[in-house]
Amino acid sequence: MDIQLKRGLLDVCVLAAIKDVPSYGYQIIKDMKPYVEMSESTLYPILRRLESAQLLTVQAAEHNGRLRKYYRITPAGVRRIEDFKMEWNEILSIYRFVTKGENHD
Amino acid sequence: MTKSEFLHRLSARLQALSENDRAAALTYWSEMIDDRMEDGMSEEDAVRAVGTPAEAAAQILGEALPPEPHKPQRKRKTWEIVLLILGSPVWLSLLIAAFAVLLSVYLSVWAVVISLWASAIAVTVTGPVSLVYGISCLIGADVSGGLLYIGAAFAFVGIGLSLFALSLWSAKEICALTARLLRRKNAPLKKEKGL
Repeated sequence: MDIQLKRGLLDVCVLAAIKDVPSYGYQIIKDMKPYVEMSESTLYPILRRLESAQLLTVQAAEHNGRLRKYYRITPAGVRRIEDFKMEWNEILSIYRFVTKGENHD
Repeated sequence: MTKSEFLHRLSARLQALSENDRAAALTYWSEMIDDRMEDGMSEEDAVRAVGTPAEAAAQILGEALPPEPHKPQRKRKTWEIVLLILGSPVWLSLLIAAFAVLLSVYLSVWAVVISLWASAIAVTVTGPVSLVYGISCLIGADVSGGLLYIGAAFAFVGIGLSLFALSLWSAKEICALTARLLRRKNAPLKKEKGL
């Protein structure tokens, strides 16, 4: 897949993983696992990018005697997910048109 | 590899980063390893699962740009040289013509300066001549004529001196301009009339 496209898609995936409840790195990876393979290495720059774009915030909370970073979505992050859904409705329409004649009944 | 070994190696690869950035990255990976161990993995497995320090460093430092497409330089150069030689009758003569034009323009500028000098000399010389003639008029009782020529003599000398000054100034300016142009072009053309 096109690298830029994939990068944008993974960004939205991560946002979706923290949409309903703040989550932490490893949990995000586990949540995405059934759908998308992601490693710590891939996740790190995504989290940083989303943070600097203010689509999520980072908070350190204590957990079992150590500090763990929790990522929480921002309103802007929620909007980004909605934009993505709208974009893809458009793409789906186009896809349906492109493959219109190819469906064998 | 142990967790501390992983972090140590990772840290070594992140020397290019600022203290803050490096610390943030190390915290992140330390946490990732801890989380996996908490999930039940052994330290070895947890470290192996998060990838190699090299991979981690690569992602932290930013994706590497795809390598520049390597154009075969050699082939291009010989091809270009052959074309240049074949076309030389055309571009070489054009170049010489252009150069000749520039040179003649430059020389005509200097010609103007020289004529300024010549005028200056001519006018200034007229001064004493006019003076002498004026005095002779006075002696010959032609007062108005004499005064006219004596007055004119002063005018001639004045104008002549101004012309001298003007030609001196313009000569200096042209030399300065020439020097500047030559320095900019960097290729030493024929030594023009510069100082």
